[in-house]
Amino acid sequence: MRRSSPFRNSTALAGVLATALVLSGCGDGTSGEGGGETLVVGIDLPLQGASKDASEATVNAMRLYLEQRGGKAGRFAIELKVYDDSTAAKGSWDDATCAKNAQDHVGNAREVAVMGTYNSGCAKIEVPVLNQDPSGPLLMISHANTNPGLTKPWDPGEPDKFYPTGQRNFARVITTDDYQGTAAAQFTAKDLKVKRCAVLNDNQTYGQGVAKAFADEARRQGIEILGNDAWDAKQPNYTALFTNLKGRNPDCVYVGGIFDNNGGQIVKDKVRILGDNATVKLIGPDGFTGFPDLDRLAEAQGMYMTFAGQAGEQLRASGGVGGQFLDAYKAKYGADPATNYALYGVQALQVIMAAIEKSDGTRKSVRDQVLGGEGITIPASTSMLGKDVKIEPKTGDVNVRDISVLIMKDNKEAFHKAWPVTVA
Amino acid sequence: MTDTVLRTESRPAAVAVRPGVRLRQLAMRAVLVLLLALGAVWLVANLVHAPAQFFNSAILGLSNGALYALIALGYTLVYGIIELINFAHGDLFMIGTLCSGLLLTTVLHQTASGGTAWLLFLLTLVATMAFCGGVNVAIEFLAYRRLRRAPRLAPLITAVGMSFVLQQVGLWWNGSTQKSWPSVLPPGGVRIGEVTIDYTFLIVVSVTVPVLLVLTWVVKKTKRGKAMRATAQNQDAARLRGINVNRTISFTFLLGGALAGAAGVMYQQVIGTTRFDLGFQLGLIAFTAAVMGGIGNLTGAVLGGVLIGLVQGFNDGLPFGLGQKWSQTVVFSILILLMVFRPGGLLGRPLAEKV
Repeated sequence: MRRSSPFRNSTALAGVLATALVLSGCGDGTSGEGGGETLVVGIDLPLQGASKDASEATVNAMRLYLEQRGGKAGRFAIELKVYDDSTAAKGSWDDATCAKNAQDHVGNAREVAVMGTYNSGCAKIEVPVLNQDPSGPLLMISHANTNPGLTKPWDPGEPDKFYPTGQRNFARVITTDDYQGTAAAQFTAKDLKVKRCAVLNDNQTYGQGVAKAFADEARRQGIEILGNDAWDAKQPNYTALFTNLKGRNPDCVYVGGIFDNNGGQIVKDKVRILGDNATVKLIGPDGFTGFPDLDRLAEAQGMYMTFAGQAGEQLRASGGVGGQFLDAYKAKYGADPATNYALYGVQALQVIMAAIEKSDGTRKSVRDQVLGGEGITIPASTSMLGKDVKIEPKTGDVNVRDISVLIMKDNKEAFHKAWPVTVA
Repeated sequence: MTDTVLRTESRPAAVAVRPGVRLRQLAMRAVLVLLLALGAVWLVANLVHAPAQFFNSAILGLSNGALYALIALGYTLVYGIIELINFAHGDLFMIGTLCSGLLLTTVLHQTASGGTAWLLFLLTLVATMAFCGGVNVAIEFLAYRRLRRAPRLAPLITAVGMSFVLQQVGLWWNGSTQKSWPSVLPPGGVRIGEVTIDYTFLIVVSVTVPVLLVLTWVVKKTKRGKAMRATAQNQDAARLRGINVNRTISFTFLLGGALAGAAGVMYQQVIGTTRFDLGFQLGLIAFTAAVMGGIGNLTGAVLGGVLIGLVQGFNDGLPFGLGQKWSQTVVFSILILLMVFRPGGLLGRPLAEKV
C-alpha cells in the first residue's frame, strides 16, 4: 500500500531490468552460468513512521545510482528489492519484523547481499540469522548502523555473539558511536565551552551507546557529567524530568537517542523548563537528524546535532562525485534527499556492487570479497565520499571517520563544521 | 460519606475473628505503617534538601494528574452504570486529541495565545465534547447494547475490539509518528519565589474541578441522575418504575464521551504532542486511577488520577527519585500495595461481587 507509491522511478527501473533479462535470455538467476545473471540486493529500512522520509530518500538515491551504472555490476544485472522493517503500529523499526525480514533475505535465493539496516538494534537481530545461512554467510552492509558493538568489543559478548559461525558478514560505510559521541563531547567542550552537562538516553541500544561515549569523553575533556538518565518514550511529557535536571544546574543537555522515541516532546520540555538553546545548549546525535517534524519545531532551533559522516554541503563544496550525484538527485526528484544518509546508502551499494563484480555470483563469494582477502576499496575518484573508502576485512569497519556538526537554523539542518576525531 | 457512589452493595457478613486472623491483621497493619512512614521520610528528605524543586515537581505532577483524572472520570462513570470496563475510552480520548488538533490548529489556524484564540478554544472544546460524546453513544448503540444480557466477558472483549477500531482510525488520521501542535494557552506562569505555577496548570485544574462538581451534582441531585443510580442498581426494577433504561445508558455514554473529548482538547493544548497509540498508555493510567480511587466512584477517580500524577512527578522530579525509567514500576507497585491493603480502592466500599 504505502510502499509502491513513493518511489517514482520503479516503472523505469522495471523496464531496464526486463530488458536486461530478455537480452541475457536467462530467466533463472540461480543457474550459475556465466554472463548476464540477475542478482538481487536487498534494502532493509523502516519505511513507516518517523524515519519514512529518510528511508524513501535512501531508496530513491540507490535507484538513481543503479540507473546511472546501467543496472549492472560487471557481468551481473542487479535488481534492488525493498524490505520494510517497521510496522505502522510502532511507527519505527520492530524486532519481530526485523527477525522475519532476516528469514526472507535468506529465503530469497537470488539475493546476494543486503543494504541496511537503519537502526543498530534491528541489525543485531538480523546479522546472526544471515550469518548462519547455509549458502552464505549472507553479507549485510549498513549505511547507518553506528553502534560499535556490531563490529568491535563494546557490551559483554559483543561482537562475537552476532557471528555464531565465527565468520564475519557485517560491514558498514559509516563510522561508529564511540567516535560520534567522542566528537560531540570534544566539540561541546572546546567550541561551546560548557562546564556541566546532563546526559539523557532513550534506553535503547543505540541511545545508551552514544550517550555513554559522549559522557566518557566529556569527563576526559573536563566537563562535569550530571548523571546519565533514561527517558521513557511512553510518558506524556518530561517536565518533571527536566525539573530534576534543573536542580543540578546544567549548562548543556545531551540527548542520546532517536527522535522517534518522543524526541519532539523532549526538545519542547527542555526549552520549557531549562530555557532556550542559546542559554542551555542542546546537543543530539544523528538519531535526531533527517526529521522534517523536528526541523519545523520552534524549540529545536539552535540545537546542535552530530552526524557520523559528511553533510551534503561539504560534499558539494569539495566538488567530487558525491556532490555531482546530489545534483543529479535534485534534478530527478526535485529536492535534496531528506537525510545525509541517502548518500551513504549509495556508498554501501557501491561497495556491494564492487564485491559482486569481483565475485562468482554466489552469496559466499560476495561476502568473501568484502570480509576476506584484501577487502574492498573504492578509490577517491569514484567514491561518493570523495576519499578512498576501504572496508577493513577483519572487522567490517570503514577507514573514513568523518563527523560533522550540524545546527538547526531557520527550520533547516545547516552544516556547522567538520570535526575530525581521534579516540584516545 | 460525602463521596458519590453509583453502586452500593451490602457488605459481606462479618467473619468470626480467630486469633490467627487477628495476628495477621496486626502484621499487615504494621507493614502498612512502616511503608507509609518510609514514604513520608523520603518526601521530607526531598523537601528539606531542595524545597523549590519539591514544589515545582508537585505542581507539574498535579498538572498531569488533573489530565489523568479527566480521563478516569469517564472510565468510572460508565463502569458505575453498567459495570463495563470500557477499554475503548482511552482511544476515544486519543480521537479527542486529534479532533482538537484538526479543529483548532488545522481548520481555525490558531497557533498563538490571544483573545480570539481563547474563544475559538472554547468553541473547539464544546465541539470536540459533542463529537466524542456522539461517537461514544454510537459505539454503545452499535456494539454494547445488544450484548447487555450476554455473559460479562462478551462486552469486555467487544470493548477491546472497539479500542482497536479507534486506534486504526487514529493511525489513519494522525499517522504513525508523534505530531507536535502549537498551543493557544498562555505560556509562562505565576512565580512565587523559585516556584513556578504554570498558567496551563491553573487552566487544567479550573476545568477538572468544575467538571467533577457538575457530574456529582448531575448524578446526585437531578432526576436523570436518580435514573442513572436506579439503572446501576437493578435494570429490571428501574424499568418497572418507568425508567427508560436504554436512554439512561445512552446518556451515561454521552457524558463519558464528552469527558474524553474535554480531556483530549486539554491534552492536545497542554502537552502538545499527539500519537495514535496514546489511548493505550493514557487509558491504562486512567484505568489505574479509577481502580485506585475505587472504581465507580467519581471523587475517587479524580483522587486516583491526581495521586498518580503526583507520584510520577515526585519520582521523576525529586533529587532522590528513582528517575523516569522506574516511573511506571513505582505507580503500579503502589497500585498493588493499595489493592493488598484496601481492595476496594481509596474511596471504594467492599463489594460482594468482584469483576
